[in-house]
Amino acid sequence: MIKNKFIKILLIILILLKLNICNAKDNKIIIAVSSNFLITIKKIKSKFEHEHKKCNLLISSDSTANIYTKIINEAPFHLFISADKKHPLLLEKKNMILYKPVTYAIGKIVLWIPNSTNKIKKKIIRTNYKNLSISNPKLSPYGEKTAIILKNLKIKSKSDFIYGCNISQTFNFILSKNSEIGFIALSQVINHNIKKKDFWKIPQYLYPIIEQTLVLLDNSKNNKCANDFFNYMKSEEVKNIIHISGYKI
Amino acid sequence: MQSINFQPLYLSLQLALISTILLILIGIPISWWLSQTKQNKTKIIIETIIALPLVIPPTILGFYLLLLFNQHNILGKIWFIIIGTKLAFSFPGLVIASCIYSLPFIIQPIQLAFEKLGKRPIEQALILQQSKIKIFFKIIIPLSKTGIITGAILTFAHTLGEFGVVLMVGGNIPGKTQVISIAIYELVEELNYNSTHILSIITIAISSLILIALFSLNNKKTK
Repeated sequence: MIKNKFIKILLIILILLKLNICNAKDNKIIIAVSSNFLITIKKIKSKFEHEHKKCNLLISSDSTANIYTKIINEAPFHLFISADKKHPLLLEKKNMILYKPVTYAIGKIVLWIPNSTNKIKKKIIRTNYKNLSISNPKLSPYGEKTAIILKNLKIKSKSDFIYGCNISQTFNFILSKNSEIGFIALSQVINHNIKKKDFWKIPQYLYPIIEQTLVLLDNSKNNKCANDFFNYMKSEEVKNIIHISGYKI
Repeated sequence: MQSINFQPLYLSLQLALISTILLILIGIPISWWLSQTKQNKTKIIIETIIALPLVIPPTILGFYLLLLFNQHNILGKIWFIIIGTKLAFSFPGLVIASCIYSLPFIIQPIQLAFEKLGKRPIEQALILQQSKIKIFFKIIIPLSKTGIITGAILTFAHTLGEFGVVLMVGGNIPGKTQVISIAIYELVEELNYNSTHILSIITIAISSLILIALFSLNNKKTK
């Protein structure tokens, strides 16, 4: 009886230990992506994997600042798709990247008010909307620029502001109706088919350009897949996908 | 509909299993020493250190482990010299972090079981002139079986539910350190509620089964 049980437990242990080994593929590359670009990169991933059958892309998303911290703490990423230019340049200073940062998109910020009745105008934010959500300006490049928009619109921060760790979380706060209004990325609005009357594209003169760059990290030195993907990101085909997803190029 | 990736679930189960096995091996000798030592300063200090992960926020533990795991620091350096891989953002790193984080969950039930035994069974065996190792494995361990199993189940369940430490130390790397809690966090951000629900329900089911096992074990003991 006890022997049987012991063998069963041993079998389960062996199966569990084996599962991970089975999944190992030769040409795995890990891409760290800023969360505003997560849905777009998944579209690009499936196209790339279709064309390069041997390569397997793994995607890890987080806010730009968090990814940067992980990279300087030796995270095994091959590519870093950032939402700004600052962090890739900091990595360049530390000699942790292979080529110069490449700009792949210009991000746009929108103000989203679900089910709004009026056409959204500047003054609407000054009226009594509760729980305006923005991304944390310290962690997210979108949040950093949003803070500048608020300053330019002369809106003072209130105690009921909600700060998302990154732009995806900010989007989630509004989608789950915990916040009535918030600043998010145009790409999110497009990806989730939000009605045109529900958002206001913030004019570019109210905030500096969000230049989103990507870099090939040290780990990719002799990695063909990583280099292929880096070049693929610069192709016309990808530029098209990025453009449709709500970015300027 | 997108296909659901079950890899994080396997990874979590694997992590929980390995941590539990390691912790049983580490936990039994420590618990034995604690149960046999009279109350003194050293014992209080060691008990405090072991119970500390229960109290401090997981982010503090994660932060310092991340610093320790860095290749330029002692633990990361030793690991790199012996094993040849980096410790931060790797599966072995997660195992070490989980073991530290779950240590109180294995020690306390086993220590309690050992303390409950009392001195009698050991003295009787000593009268029969049995060797100390034989007494430990043939008498003490079987008599404290429930305590050990309780500790193991709690450790397994606790590791499965871990979030803060693995987020700091693991770094959300799919297939390597992206365990179930972090995968669900990412799925919610992706607004992929469908996959979130399925993975969550499976995890809740597994956790419920574990707790059912634990409570039926406890009921048996009290009868």
